[in-house]
Amino acid sequence: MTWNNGSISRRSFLYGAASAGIGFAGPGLVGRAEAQQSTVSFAGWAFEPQVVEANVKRFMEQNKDLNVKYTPLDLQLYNEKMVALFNAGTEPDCFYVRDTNLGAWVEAGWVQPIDGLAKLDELNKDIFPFNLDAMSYQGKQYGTPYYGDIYIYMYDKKALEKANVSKVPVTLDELRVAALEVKKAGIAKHPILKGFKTNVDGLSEFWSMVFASGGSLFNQANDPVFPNEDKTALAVLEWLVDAMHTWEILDPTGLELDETQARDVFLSGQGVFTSNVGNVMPRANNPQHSKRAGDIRMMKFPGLKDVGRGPMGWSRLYCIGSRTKVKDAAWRLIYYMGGKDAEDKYYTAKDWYLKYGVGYAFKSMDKDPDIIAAQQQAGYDPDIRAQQYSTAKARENINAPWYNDWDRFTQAQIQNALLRRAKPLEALQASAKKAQDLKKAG
Amino acid sequence: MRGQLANRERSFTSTRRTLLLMCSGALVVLYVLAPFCWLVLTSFMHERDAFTVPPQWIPTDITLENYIAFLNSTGTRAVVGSRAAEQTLPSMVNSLVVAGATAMINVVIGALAGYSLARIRFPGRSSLLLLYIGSRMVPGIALIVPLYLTVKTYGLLDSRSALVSTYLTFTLPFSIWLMKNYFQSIPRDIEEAAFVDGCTWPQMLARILVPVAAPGLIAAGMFAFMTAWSDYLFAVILTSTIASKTLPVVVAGFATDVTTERTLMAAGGVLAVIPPLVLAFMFQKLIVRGLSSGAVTG
Amino acid sequence: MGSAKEQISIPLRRTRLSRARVNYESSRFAFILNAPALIVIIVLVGYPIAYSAWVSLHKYSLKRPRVFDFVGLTNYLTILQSDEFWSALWITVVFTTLVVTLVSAIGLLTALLLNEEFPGSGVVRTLILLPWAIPPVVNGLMWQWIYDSKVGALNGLLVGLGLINEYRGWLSSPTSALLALVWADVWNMVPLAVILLLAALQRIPAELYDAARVDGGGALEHFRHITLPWLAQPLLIVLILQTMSAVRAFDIIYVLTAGGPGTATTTLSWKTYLTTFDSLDFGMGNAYAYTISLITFALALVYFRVLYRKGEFEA
Repeated sequence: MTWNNGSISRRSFLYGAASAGIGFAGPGLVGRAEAQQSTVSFAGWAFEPQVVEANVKRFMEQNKDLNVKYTPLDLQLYNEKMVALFNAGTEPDCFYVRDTNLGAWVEAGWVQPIDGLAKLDELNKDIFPFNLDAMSYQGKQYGTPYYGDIYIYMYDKKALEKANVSKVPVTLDELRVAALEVKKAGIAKHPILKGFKTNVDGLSEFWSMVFASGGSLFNQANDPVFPNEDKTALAVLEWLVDAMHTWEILDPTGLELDETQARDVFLSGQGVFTSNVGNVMPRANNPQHSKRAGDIRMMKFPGLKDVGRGPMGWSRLYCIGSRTKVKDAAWRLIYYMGGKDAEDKYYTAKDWYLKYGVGYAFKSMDKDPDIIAAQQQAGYDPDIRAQQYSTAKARENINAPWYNDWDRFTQAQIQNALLRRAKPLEALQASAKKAQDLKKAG
Repeated sequence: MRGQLANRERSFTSTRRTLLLMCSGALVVLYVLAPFCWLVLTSFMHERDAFTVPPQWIPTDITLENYIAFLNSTGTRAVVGSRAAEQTLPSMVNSLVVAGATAMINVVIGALAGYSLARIRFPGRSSLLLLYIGSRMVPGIALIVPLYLTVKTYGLLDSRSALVSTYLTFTLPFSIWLMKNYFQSIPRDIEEAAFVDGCTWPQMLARILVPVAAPGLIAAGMFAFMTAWSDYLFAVILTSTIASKTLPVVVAGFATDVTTERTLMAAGGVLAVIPPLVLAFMFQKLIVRGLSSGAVTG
Repeated sequence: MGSAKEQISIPLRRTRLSRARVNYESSRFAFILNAPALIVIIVLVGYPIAYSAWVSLHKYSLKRPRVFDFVGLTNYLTILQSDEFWSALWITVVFTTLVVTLVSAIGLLTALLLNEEFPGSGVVRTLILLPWAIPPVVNGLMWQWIYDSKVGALNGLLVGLGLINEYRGWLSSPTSALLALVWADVWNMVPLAVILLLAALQRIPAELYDAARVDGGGALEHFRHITLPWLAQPLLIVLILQTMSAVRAFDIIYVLTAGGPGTATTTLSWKTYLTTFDSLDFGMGNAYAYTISLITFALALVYFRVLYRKGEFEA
């Protein structure tokens, strides 16, 4: 049994090498259709892998000369598993990458740039700017979009009506007033719900509030401009601390909730205001998953002042491994998965969006009638949605190789500030110093 | 157990003592069962009833659908956690095979090494024990990446053999140490007596020493089994398909990003406990049987 | 009696297993007995241990894989000079002390209880193994649901019993989070201590108690002078095992608190994980790992010194 497994992977590797040797690789070669099948190995974290399998199958039908071996990997320890695979040289030909890891993985030499590959430029023209930014590192592009989404702020319409709040808040100050009204009306003890447990999306709300206020955290050279040069971050953190301890409108148990838990709590009926990843919005209005379906609306992400700026956005991409022997086949696969199929449609992206609300990266899909219908059902206000998506920004230092370290460290600092173990200024100073140290260490 | 004299004496003691013991026993059972009961109850509920406020201590609407999903998952349940439902029972088989093999090999190899450390005076005896225990000092996180490379070099990726070998390295040091101690606490006269009667060393081992050291052997085997059964970190990194995935990997897989079917996870968790529990039931009697009557008095 | 097999002196070099007597002095024989174990261990973890130790002496981050400079003990010095290390060390010390103490105490009391015969003792003896049978990752998930601040069973129970007024967060304040973590880990680990101590208690020869009874003295005396010394060795094993397990606890932190809130539950083990896999700094991460190893080893030596000599029956 064990040798069986060992030899199967050796066999498919030999297949790939042999077919490459026969000269299958390039386009335009005579007799390509008669050549042996080329095998591409593809892996990603196990989010609804049956959807991926169905799409992969469709790709193979449209590309009869390619065989794809797809392996879903554990969702939680994806990063760790990939590190082990890279180190041992058994990494797949193409795979998912999170934008937070991109810089590090490029520096480690694990992924290769895709600039100049067939039809890429055209694809890029239709991609949202925040998404495109997040897929590039030092001027080179490394992948096609698996999905891209923004962080959104939501509220319960019915609760606001009950509390007689007529205007949906736009700035943080208006949010405070509205929350206090809700609290006074006895609807919720802590109207604002947010998960602060250290997790992959833990810093997203903070980023979004800073962006929505028109502020910045880092400059072009990836130096921190907070807390002193740009005082937005400090003001935002102080607002959060006050919200939790002075006005008591922010739920303190949020410190033990991560994104998914906070989402489930909100959908079960607690809290009136919350922020979360983009696909929570349609889910919140889906009676199958939410106890308050139909009542949830999206609002502009609140900042210190209303400057017409959107929140943060991020990307997950399909990348090609730097050691792959079937680069062209891998490119065709990730072009299909992260772009267009043989019929020139954004099939995969649309499939993901309609099934699970997973954000799409292409501007033109906004005009697709199926998608518009789905969005209406999800309760979006089309104008607000369009504004937020088009003004969203990628995190400024997202492609620094040290992004991950800094992100986690800062989450802990913010938690300390919320626990009142550190003053907001101290917390941010520590975070800024960490960024500088990390940058210096290279 | 404690000798006949103690038993006779106990029957004279007031029932108060027995009652006290039973109450303490009940307390222990409560301590052990209470958190687990919650898991069991949840596994028999529908997802919508599972986490209500206040909790349903006695579920009003009991269902077997979570367990049935392991045999025949349909619809949305089929795809939860990347097919975790249909992988649950096969992964349980993998876990049983891996943990069982680890336990059995442990007892054999560990007994041999433990015996040598207990009985034989040889140079490097204490250093050897230190070496065994020292090999366990390094946290798994540091070893994972080079271990993956090692396993790959032997061509054993995604195999149960790799898991068994890895778990052996975790569990041998303590099996050996345990065995050493138990052998040491057995008077050497027993062995001498066996030799006088004309036994060879293997015969002595099988007929005399093993039965006497049974509690220690069982304990070491159980320890090895449990360690192998519960590992998550190494199993996740070294396995990729259901050919070798173990139960903790699959059960943890239920916690996917979007679909949190916690009742399914609860049912999986319950299943994860049953085989070890069955084994425990089978062996606790052996531990109780204790000393053979002749060995001590001789 | 005079059978040929009763020879007392054996040439030191004869070590075949089929000999009638075992040679209690033979190194060859000992080596043969140890060979299987040694082979397994060296073949599998020999390289990983050597490699990771070697890497800890280098500056090596996967983000700059071409750089592999030998820096000697610099990584270790950097660690010792960083606040994060001392904070993590302190939390590890607190966590480990609490876990080891609780596990040993509860384990000992339970083992003593289960050593007695009473109606239902068989049932209890079986059930006691239940928490240990639960994989730590499942244990973490289970306790997460129990501690949940919105829908958790603990909250439900306490409110139902009237002990608290409303649901509260158990993992959202630093002290509470650490204690909750400790309790969840203790629950998972007690059975191991119980079976080790119970197996040892079962081996105490009845005559010792009978003799003591003749000499007089109550149960407490018996405990101090017979039971405890006999238990010194198994207790040593329990202490070392629990210390090592607590220092390396990972699965449960991963699920319950992710090292938070703040850094309240960031133990050395968690810090190692972050450094190795989040920061991809293998040089530093391995240095952290070996720091943990050295600390654990030092502790083991301390335990040995204190307990080893007491309770040796056959040297």
